[in-house]
Amino acid sequence: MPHEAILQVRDLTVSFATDLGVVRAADGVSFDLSPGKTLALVGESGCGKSMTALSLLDLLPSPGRIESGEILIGDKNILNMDEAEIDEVRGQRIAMIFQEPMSALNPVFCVGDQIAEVLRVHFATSKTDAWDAAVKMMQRVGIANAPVRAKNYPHQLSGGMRQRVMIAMALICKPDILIADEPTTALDVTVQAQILDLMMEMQAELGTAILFISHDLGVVSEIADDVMVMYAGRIVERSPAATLFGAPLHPYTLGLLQTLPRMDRRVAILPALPGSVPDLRALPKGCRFSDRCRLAEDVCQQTDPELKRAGAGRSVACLKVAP
Amino acid sequence: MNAPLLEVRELRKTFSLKGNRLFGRDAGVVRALDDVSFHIDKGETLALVGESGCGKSTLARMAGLLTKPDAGSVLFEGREISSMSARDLKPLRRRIQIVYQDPFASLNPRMSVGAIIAEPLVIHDLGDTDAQHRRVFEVAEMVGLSAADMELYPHQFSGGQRQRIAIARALAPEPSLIIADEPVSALDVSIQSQILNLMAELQRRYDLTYLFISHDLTVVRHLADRVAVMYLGRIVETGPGEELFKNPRHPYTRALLAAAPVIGRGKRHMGDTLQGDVPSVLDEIQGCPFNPRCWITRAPCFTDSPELEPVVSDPGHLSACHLKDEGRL
Repeated sequence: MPHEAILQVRDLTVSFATDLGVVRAADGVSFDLSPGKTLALVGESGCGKSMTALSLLDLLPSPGRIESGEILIGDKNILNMDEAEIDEVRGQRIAMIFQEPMSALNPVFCVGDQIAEVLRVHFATSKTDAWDAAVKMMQRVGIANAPVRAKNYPHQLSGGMRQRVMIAMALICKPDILIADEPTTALDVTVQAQILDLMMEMQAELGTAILFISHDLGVVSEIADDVMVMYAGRIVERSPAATLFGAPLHPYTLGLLQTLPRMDRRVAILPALPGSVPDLRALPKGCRFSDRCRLAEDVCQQTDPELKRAGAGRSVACLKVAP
Repeated sequence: MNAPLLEVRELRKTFSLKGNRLFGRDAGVVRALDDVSFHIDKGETLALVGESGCGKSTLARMAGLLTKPDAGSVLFEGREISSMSARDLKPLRRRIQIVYQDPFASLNPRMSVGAIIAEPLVIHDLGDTDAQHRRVFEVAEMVGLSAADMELYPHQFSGGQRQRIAIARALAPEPSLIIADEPVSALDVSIQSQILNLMAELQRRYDLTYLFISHDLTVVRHLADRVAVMYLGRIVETGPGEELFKNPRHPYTRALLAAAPVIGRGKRHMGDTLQGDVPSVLDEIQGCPFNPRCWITRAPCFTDSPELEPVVSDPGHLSACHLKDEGRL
């Protein structure tokens, strides 16, 4: 139901001009985000998931640029906005949290000030009101003794606490969309569980749409409603989480799931995915996964598959599965 | 009965934090290891699991003869080695090799891969140059690297390939024990399984013994024969992997297992998540170190620190919990 979507991405192509030619970090990526839902973007390092996320806020590092596509928030295309309009979107409509909160927070300001600053920038809130709101927000994200903690500097907080501060900062303007780029990867497993709980709780309360970027299929399985699998700049499969993990369609998704060690069974040899992720500067001809694929035939080395519908809410880019 | 390949007894290690130098006061003492004992038999894999700061890497460094304990002993094939001189230790260092987490930091960028793998042979003066050459190519082949790769430099390889180089370097001097400190944590999922399979195969073929350190329970479940769970510088539970994962007898192990994401279980249910952070190692906790986060505490938990002792129903399985023999756990 596209009219319900709060953010629509259409044919997004992100490219980097390098000495060795133009590299496409994301190539024809399309998806919708719905309010109150979590869409996960999974893939291995270098597949383009972080660049896709950064482009949604027009934050691509140089020399990256958006070559083509549309990013629609409501009926407005972010890519046609001027700097002032984008500033309004950032933080107010779309907020982002990152993997390493220590490097995303400013070490020389106390965390209360950093949270309050968001309100002061976007709504010109008075200093005392913004501080009070920041403390209240810190309480809501589960920071005990918030009035005291607000005066702490980032280095005085634990990793989990810092990520709570990041979430407070991201959600204080009640954005419609939260982009979370590997938000729990740097955390210990028990703290990771707490942060995932917090994200789900805040989502239920505020109706935030979450784009959750991760390499960890276990975490994705626990938090996502829908999942997109990305490989070498392309979305190769999209599906509701339950069906993706129960019956993956794309050979890459299947390979990833089979190769993971699991808690519930022990095998002598893990079914390995041969080879490694291709260099974006030297992609295989035809399907980008063809050189590692067990199902690949001649046709796969000639034709680049498109993402095609394959059942309820599912699509897959594979000539063997959905010709 | 043969002595275990490696045994540590009652290891203690503290690090003092430098405080105000002028007045010569220490800011505090970190108890990195507190009365840690374990053994590894030849050919088996013992995994140390725990969250950051629990002391697992300090313990690995001690087993690898890189750090001396303050108290306690390290025995290699039944011989006490923690008090040996550097000269006496050298031949033992050949037999204990280490693979680190980050293959981008553990390989010298200015040495060719061949020279990196040959280095332990040169240091320990094993064979003449020809023999060393042959050994380099031999171990390279064992880990799936080609002869041509030996001419190249680390930056020309991916993370997975670099970890193969690090493993080849560890294998070169024919060690008995390999200490692997988070060897697959920096690798992509599809590469991770390739390295795990390689390690398992090498163990089968060369009867290697592994001390495997990881925070990832699924990886530990896959590779370990026995598991030791660490919390705040202590081993809180240890036993055969199968039994420990199926029937944990310490609440911390139970919480770790509950927190580990499981594929296909569906969206998470909130409520059974362990609350709080790992306390600072500087804090003095009365009684059991886990009591601030524990949900089944009784009176003794706040006064007496529990010893690591066998579970009554299963003597091979040890737990440091006052309630280890109760059904409620």
